[in-house]
Amino acid sequence: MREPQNIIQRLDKPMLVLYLLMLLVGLMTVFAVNYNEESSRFFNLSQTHGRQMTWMFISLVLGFSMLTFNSNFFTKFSIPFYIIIILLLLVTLAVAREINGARSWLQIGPAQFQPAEFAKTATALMLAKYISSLSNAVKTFRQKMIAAGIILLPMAIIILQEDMGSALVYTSLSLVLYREGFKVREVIIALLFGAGFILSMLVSVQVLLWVLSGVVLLIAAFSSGRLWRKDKPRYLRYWLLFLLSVASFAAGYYLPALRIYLIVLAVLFMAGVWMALRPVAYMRITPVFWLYLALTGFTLYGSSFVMNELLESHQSERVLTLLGLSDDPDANYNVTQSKMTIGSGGFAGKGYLEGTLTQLKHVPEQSTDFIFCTIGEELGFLGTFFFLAIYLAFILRIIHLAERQRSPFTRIYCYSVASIFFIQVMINVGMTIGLLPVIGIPLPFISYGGSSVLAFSIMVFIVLRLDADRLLILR
Amino acid sequence: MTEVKKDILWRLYLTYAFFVLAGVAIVVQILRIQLVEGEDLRADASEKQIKSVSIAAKRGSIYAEDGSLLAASFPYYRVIMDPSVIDAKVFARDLDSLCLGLSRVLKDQPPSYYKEKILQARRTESKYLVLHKKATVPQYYELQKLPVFRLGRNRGGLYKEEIQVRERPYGSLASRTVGIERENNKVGLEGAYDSVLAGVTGLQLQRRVAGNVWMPLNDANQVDPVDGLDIITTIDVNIQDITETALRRILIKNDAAWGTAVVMEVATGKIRAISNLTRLEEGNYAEVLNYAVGTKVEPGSTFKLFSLMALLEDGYVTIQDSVDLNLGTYQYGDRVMKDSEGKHEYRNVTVEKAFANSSNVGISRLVTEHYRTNKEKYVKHITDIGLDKPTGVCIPGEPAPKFKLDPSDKKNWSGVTLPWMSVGYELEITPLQMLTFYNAVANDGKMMQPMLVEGTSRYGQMQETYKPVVLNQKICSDKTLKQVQACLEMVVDSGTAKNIRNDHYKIAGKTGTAQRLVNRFYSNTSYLASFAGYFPADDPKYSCIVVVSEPSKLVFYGGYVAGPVFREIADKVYSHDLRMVGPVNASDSSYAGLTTRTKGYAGDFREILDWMDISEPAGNSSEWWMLSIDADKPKVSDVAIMDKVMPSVKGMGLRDAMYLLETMGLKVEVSGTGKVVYQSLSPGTGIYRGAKVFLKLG
Repeated sequence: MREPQNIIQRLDKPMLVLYLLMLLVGLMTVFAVNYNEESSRFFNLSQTHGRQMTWMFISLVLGFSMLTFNSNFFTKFSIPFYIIIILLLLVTLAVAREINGARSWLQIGPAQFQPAEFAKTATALMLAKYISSLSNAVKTFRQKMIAAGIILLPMAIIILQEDMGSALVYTSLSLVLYREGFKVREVIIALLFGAGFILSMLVSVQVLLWVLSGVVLLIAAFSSGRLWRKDKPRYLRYWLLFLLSVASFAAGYYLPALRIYLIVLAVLFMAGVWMALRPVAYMRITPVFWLYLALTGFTLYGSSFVMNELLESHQSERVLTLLGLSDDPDANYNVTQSKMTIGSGGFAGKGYLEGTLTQLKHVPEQSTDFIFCTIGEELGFLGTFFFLAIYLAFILRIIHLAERQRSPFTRIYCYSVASIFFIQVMINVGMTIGLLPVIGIPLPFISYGGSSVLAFSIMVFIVLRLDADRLLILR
Repeated sequence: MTEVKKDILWRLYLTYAFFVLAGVAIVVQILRIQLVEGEDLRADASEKQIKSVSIAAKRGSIYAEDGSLLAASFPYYRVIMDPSVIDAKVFARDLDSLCLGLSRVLKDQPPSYYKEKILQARRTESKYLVLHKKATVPQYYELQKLPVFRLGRNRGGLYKEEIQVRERPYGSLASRTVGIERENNKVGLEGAYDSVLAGVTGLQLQRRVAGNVWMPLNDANQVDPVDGLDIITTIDVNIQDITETALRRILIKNDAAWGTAVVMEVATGKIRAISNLTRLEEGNYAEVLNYAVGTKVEPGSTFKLFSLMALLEDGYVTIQDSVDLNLGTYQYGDRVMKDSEGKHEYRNVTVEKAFANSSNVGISRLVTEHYRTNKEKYVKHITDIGLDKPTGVCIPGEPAPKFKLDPSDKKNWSGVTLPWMSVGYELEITPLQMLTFYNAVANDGKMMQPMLVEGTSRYGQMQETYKPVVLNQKICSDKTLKQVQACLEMVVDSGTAKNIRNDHYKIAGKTGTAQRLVNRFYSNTSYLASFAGYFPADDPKYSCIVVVSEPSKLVFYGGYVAGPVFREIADKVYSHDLRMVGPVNASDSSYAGLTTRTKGYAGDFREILDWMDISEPAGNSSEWWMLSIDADKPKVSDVAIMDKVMPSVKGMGLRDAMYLLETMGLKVEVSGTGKVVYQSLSPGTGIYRGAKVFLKLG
């Protein structure tokens, strides 16, 4: 294919402009957060915004030099990238010291960096590589498991690093899976698990157990009517195993010492039901019941495991606070402070560098996770609105780019990037305004942090590079 | 194929919709926060998350003229316990040893007392148990080391509230004048200078952080507290001590109800001593009321000075004129004026003798004779001199003197008012006001306002120095002055106060023996004995008034009750005051002032030795010296300082010891004043940075 223009001319200009605009906003905001009368010089490399500027410069240099790579480079090396980053995550897990409750930082000489930030890019590339290698949309169970596995592997390691925020970002990739052929049902099931998780904290677990069991038994009773008419002995066997299964599962709740055995027994009974009914094509109850087992199991035993074992106590406290289940003001402290700061901005804000609460360091972590407060306070509703508009435009632009690709690799990669940006902004802004629990993840390009700026810039430059070759089919 | 395309498009739109929906949700929430809830949130910010806390300013101290501390605020801790935070296991195990420790450190209650209180608080889940209302700072440090408490605030439950306690290092000395610092109704100088002493309360914005702890919002306070200024009084601690001791002794001896004595510097009006003692029970006197400033009394004979001055000033008499004492009694209308000793054989004596012997008949006859037809003229002298006005001394509670100033006012002015007034009745004046008058006579007619405060200072730097105030440049002519001064000297030379005469220096003064008005009649058994005067009479330095109320041991004459107090004060002040007494010990050894076995910084010693004109003992280069007197010669030896070895600081001043030990990395705790007499780490022991050492000064 003929390429009449050079690479710079082929770049998507709106995308580049939006990216540079956000870098600028980020720099100004970091400057505003750390602004005080004494150190008001803008070009000062020893200050936070100075260091941020340095990182942005490095990102731009690296990004533009990446544009000289051949697009095939990214498809060819996506597998090695992925393997390297997985190894790096494992190394980090092994050697990292704990910072803010997470062991996710790797110390290299004087610099610290967070492999999880770069793992997002690698995972997106890997996912694109795998799905684009399939001849059609993701169809078979095996394909689905592999696709899910590509996402879940780094996610699991990051969970082990106790960096819940970063891990959560990976769930956004399910959006890509949806776009690439996963059924709505599958997404909804995932959502049901989430609902169960939350319900288990809202409602007494006991009540939930019997309500779910009752619903499932009711569905079973209605849908097994035809079996009763056709084959009475089989029907009775079916119900016997079925009830035994529910009973042993429920008993697992009341007899914690025997829980494991009872649950295994319930699963075995259920397997018996499935074996017994397999030839009966019209018996549609079985998947519902499997779902019941998984969902109830997760709800009853999983959520307490997540809350007590997986989440740090301050994080689970924040989840409870958000759900209105805990009125511990301390858990709510960051959010209260943050809402107050944003609220104090009013419609038009207090003016750039005039944020009094910002300068009083009213909100903890204001240059990183809670940087959105500064925008809210100093620029007010107008500022936040335009800021979010820029972000939305940026994300929609990426999706727009994705949809104009001939190459599935680029499309899937772009989708991944859009999803990742989306969830980062969503969670970060959501937590500062009290919509979501406080889970510390940076606001891309705005929050202070070298790894973050560099990793997101690389991500964007790969999009730009691949899009420049949108007429090619990459494999 | 179209099916697939439709499906993909559907999925695409759904994805777009999801993104936009999330964006809308966020924007709506921001709208709510910034525009709808904005007001409330802002109010919240100021109300719930930020509060302003006042920071108490340190109250200024009150010093004597020489810098001795009369009153100062010291920090103490209110010891609070929150038993609810203690782990049950720890509580059960360590409660007994904790109570033992509490009893040992606080030294006021047995362990069982604490145990009962703590157990009760634990039962009722109280979070605020006051263990001690006023623990010293070292005591609190000791408490922190006790079992349970050593776990810290959050697990041991010990915390404190700082309180400032006003203390008077000299105890009762001039305590009524120094005053009492109470929340309301401060008296004495504490009250008079409250606004100066109190300083300005600061304001700090605090915000709430995790754990319900309030932290300062930023480094700078909203309003910095300004510590109160110190007050330098005119009180001379030595003279005050002399005065109080002398007064107390005579009060006890005569079992008097109360007494007051004030010593004033003649030239300036500065009050060098002011003592007010009230009988609590026989033999026990304390400062309860400020009689000198606040109590008006009928002065009696000390007021004759005024009558004499008026007569002389108007040229009606000279002190050599004669006056008929009429054998000690004289009839005025329906009342009889008697001399205090009753009937005597004198008839015609000189005016000065009548004054010196305090003849009521003599003085009253002279006054009535010359002013009967022109009472206003007599009264005008009172207002001319300014006796009818309060002196304006700085402490509150000074009443205006009570004089009958309008002879035409028939209701108040009877036929006997003039004679009785002339000898100090039918009028009321405070002892301090009377002293001010006598002081003016001593000061060649210049009447000075009594002055109690030299000025204010901060951190040892004078901020404001008050100037003596002249109330009246000249109360009478020099001619009159000469004569009244001669008469006052005669009182002591040969008159009613000849018992206090001495050969070393001359005292001038006047006795007073007033009958007290009891149930509207002048009592024959209840007296007010007083003596007002100045010394040395040739060149007056100090004036002094002594008033003793209700001496009850049969002696009641001013000369015998108040006079001796005056004499004792005058004697001791005279012998203490270098300005009045020449040097007597010029030939003493020049080393006498050197304290032996003193340790300190070499530079300081050099300076001292240099100032004392003692040549520096040879052979020492070290930085720290020990000075001793060996065979009447100063000898210097080194204080060994080695790294990581505890030096001997015994004999050092606190400043040196503190500097030396803290530069070696030790944490120093101190009790007492003076030089180091004890160090908890003995010399030569190895030390490490951060180790604690306790020094006792004495």
